[in-house]
Amino acid sequence: MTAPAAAGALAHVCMRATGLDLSHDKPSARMRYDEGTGIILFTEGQQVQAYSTSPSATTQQPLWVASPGEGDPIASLSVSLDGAILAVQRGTAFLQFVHLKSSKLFVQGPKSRTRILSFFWCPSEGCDFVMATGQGLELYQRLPQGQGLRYKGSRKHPTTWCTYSHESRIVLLATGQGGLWLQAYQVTNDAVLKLPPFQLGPSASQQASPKSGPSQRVSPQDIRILTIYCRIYCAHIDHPHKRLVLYRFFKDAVVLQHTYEIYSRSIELSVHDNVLLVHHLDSSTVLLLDVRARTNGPIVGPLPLAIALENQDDQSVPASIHASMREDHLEREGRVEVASSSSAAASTSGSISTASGGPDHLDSCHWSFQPPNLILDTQACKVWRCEVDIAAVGRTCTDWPLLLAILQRRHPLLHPTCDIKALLLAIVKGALLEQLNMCTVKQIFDACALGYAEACAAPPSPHQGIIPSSPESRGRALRLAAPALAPQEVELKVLRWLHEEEATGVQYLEAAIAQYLASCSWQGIAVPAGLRLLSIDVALLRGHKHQVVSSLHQQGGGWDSGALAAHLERLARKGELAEAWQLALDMYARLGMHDKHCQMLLAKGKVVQALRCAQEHQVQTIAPDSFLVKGAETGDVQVFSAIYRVCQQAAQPRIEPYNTCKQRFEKVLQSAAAKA
Amino acid sequence: MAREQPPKPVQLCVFDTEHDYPEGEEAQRILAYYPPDACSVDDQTSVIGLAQALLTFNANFEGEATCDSMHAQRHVWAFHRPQTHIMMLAVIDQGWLPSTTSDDGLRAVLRQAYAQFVLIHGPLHASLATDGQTKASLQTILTETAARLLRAKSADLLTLASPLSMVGGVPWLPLDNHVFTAVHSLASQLTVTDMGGGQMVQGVMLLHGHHCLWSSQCQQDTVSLYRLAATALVPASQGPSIGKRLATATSALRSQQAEPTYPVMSYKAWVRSPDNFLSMRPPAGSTETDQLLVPTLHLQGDEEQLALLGYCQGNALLILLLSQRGMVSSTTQHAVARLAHGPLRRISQATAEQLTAHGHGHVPGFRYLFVDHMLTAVQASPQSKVATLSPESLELMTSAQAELQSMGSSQGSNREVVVRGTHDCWVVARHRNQRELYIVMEGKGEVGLAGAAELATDFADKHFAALF
Repeated sequence: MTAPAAAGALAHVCMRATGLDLSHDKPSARMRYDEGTGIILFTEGQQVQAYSTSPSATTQQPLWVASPGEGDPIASLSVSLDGAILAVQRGTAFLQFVHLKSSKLFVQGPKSRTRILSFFWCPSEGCDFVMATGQGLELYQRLPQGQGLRYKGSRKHPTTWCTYSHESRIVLLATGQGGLWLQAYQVTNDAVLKLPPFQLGPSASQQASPKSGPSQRVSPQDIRILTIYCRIYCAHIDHPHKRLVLYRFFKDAVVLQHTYEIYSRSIELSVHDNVLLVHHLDSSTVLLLDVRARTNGPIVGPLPLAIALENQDDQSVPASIHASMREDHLEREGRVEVASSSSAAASTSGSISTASGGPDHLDSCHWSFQPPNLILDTQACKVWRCEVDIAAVGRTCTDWPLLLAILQRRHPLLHPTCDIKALLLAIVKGALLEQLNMCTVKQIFDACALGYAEACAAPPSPHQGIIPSSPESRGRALRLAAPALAPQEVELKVLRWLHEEEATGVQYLEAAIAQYLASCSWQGIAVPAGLRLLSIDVALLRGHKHQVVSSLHQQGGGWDSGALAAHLERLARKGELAEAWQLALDMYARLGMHDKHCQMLLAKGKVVQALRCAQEHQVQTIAPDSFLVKGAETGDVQVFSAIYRVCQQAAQPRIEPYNTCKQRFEKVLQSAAAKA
Repeated sequence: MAREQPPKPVQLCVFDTEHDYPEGEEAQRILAYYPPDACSVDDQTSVIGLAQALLTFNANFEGEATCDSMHAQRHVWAFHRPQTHIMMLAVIDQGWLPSTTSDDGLRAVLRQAYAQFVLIHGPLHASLATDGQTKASLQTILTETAARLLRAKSADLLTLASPLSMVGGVPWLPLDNHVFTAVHSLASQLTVTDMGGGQMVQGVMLLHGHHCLWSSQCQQDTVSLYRLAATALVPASQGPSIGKRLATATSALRSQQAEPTYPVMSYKAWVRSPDNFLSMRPPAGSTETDQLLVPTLHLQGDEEQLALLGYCQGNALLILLLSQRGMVSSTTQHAVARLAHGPLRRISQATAEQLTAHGHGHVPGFRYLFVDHMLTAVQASPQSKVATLSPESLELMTSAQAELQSMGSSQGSNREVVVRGTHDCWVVARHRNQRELYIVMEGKGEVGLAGAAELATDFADKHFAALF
């Protein structure tokens, strides 16, 4: 048992500093994150400074500084996607636009002359900028010189509030007093698509919940738009019912797909490597959810967030963070799953070794969670990314089939310190070494096969659902590189290894191979011939000869391969399976490997059949002498002569005249005749 | 002795050829005789005396006392020697026997009866030495075998009479890979799971209807076990028809008598529980229990004695050979059901779909029989389709079969017979490497000898690739 060793060692999610640390420069600045461009904006008085969050940007110098003139305090900001124009909102009537290069200014109000609820830049052709008002969306395009916006149309929809996700290009409009009726639009490259409207609560779900009626109010703080596995979800944090509900967007429907329990009064959501992180701010713990897991529960028990300390970083922790672990408290509640020895054995590679306790009071108002996985410390002016420590998850998770499935869906590049494939192999091997229940083994193999099939398959077609329009290329690449165990690896590194080491009972191994073959077949994965060979060998070890023969008969050629035929030939030679002669002959014949077939017949002394086969299929690789020797060994001059005639007609160059040939084989003929 | 009853057309007996019994005590030679009551001991000894004389006479030529069959004016005599010093004999009325019946078929009936005996009671010589009930058990087997033949619309007799039937072999069903792997997975999963209280599954057989999908047993046991399953468990798993159920209910009401006990190889001895288990009908008057009574089988030449439990889903029948004999506890039942319920249902569905997709093995225009002696596997046209053949075609098929078999191995391992009847019917019979293929093509009289052979070759290439 590996109980949490040192404080800070055990955490599934850690915060990694991005390198942007302006805690000394900006004591009083207002910190904002611009999702479209990935820029951090500081407003101090009437001055705006922009800093990049990309890991490559190491300088602490601002990208640019802008001063959008005098006026009311800045309420909201947005940078155009090409980084040329800054949109500034001070009131609700109009917006200021600043050219960052020339500092030229222009002003634009909504055409409907109503309150501006929200605004954002988007990359659609013919629509660069969208303003959301109480009457819906107004679409604008930048003028060629950039000296203004041209009105391009509107999408009328009574709106109470509005939220936009740049990652999925979804803008969500809430209608009605409670804001329970939602209408989503997706800004694609060439159009603004209207998606089906839906209602939060029981009408969109299958399970009716009596309390969520019109009395409930939904605010934009309760709604997040998430992109997980290239699927777009609307996440509703339903505080009254203590649950997190995910509605998935399809082109023609919005479907309630997942309901998760939550345990905190305030939660925040992040997504890293398609794992949904639910930050429970009350207890400063994080729950890990995988929307594709077969269970509706968390992957592992909740643990606090840790801070990844990197050597090159200064190790100082912001003053506002009290690094203290809450394990005692959690263990009392029984929510910490302590890793079992077996699962500890399964994890081979190290995790992020230097982690310290995470921030204790994330629910302080100065922490701001930004999509997909940024955490802004607006007080200390620091930017963090939260990351899943997949090796730690591997150590803690005790449900091996679930763990295997989850690990397979992770992208190796996002977990550079963890060898996911080695972890997968260790799980499979460990499960078999421990001789786990065959049902569990079946689940593990099913997950293996599913993962491999998905890794091989093409990305999902756009008809199945909405795919994010811009970062889809990244999502696709992630999926293709997903770590999965190929049948060859399972065969060589697990099953054959177990067989050679005699690490499990033969009976158990036979069952395990059968389960794996069934899992592969279920997913339509082609199985390497070596696995069938192994399966046959193990069955023979158990003494199930008839089972092997009948299986090959039932397959009727479905398993045919040169390797298997050669293996059967070997088995027949060794005398381990008498029927293997005929089975190998049949298989060679079906495969069209006539030279092998012919050689086997010759070896068996069936020279006439062999010659007939050679003649029929134009086998050239066998020398006439091989036939003649075997013919002479029959001791039958007639047979010998017949063989000579056939060989004489077919062989190139011509063989010697009959009499010399016969003389050459006279001794063999006579001794064989004498024996007969 | 004159009797009112007409003589039975079927007589079966087992007798001892080892000991010489003094005159007047020949009846001791008889181990079992059917019909037991219809003919006197004198009649029985006279039949056996003649058989014994035939064997002795034949020994002058063959070097050993053996005989396959003899055709007398009114009866066919078929012999089978299951083990040294034991002889089985069937004397069948020629007027009653369909003309297409082969002597080999009759011998196969004897062979199967003996195999059933060994499966249920162990080898005869061992059993005779130890068990006083052996003669009675042997008698039961003969009675059951004869009863099956003499029954009205007897399926056994139909099979015996049809030269294209699958008698004696195991109809292995070629399976699509995904079904096969599912079957393999289920079978192996069962054998590695503790079924509660140390109960282990030592062997698994899986059937779908009359098709065999899986067997973990050796060839001989597979054949015997399949036969037992096909005659007893499969009919029992399908349950009685409504008419029969009504009849039993009313008769049970009418007479409050206890039901007679049936032998293991009779489907009436088996009962399907509400949880889909097949077990022996508990003896009348026994107390209610949730345990299941199961018979013990003697396998691997009596080296293994295992209990037989059936479990069915849809048309699929799972046969489990359990290590602990006697009663099967409810724990074991739950364990089996938990493991097998879902997979077996899916296998049943998938197999049914596959059978439908392949027309249950029917190839229009052809009636065929494939026999693999290496595997004792058979594959044939559906018997409903074979039934449409004219009697002349069946006769032709019977003679072609006899011809092919009489050619022996003198012609090398490849033999072929192609014959045409007077009624536009071709029969092609081929033998290659321990495998036989018989094809009957009606209404193809015009194709000629070469055409018929070519049709047969195309058929074989398509359905039995590279085997013929």
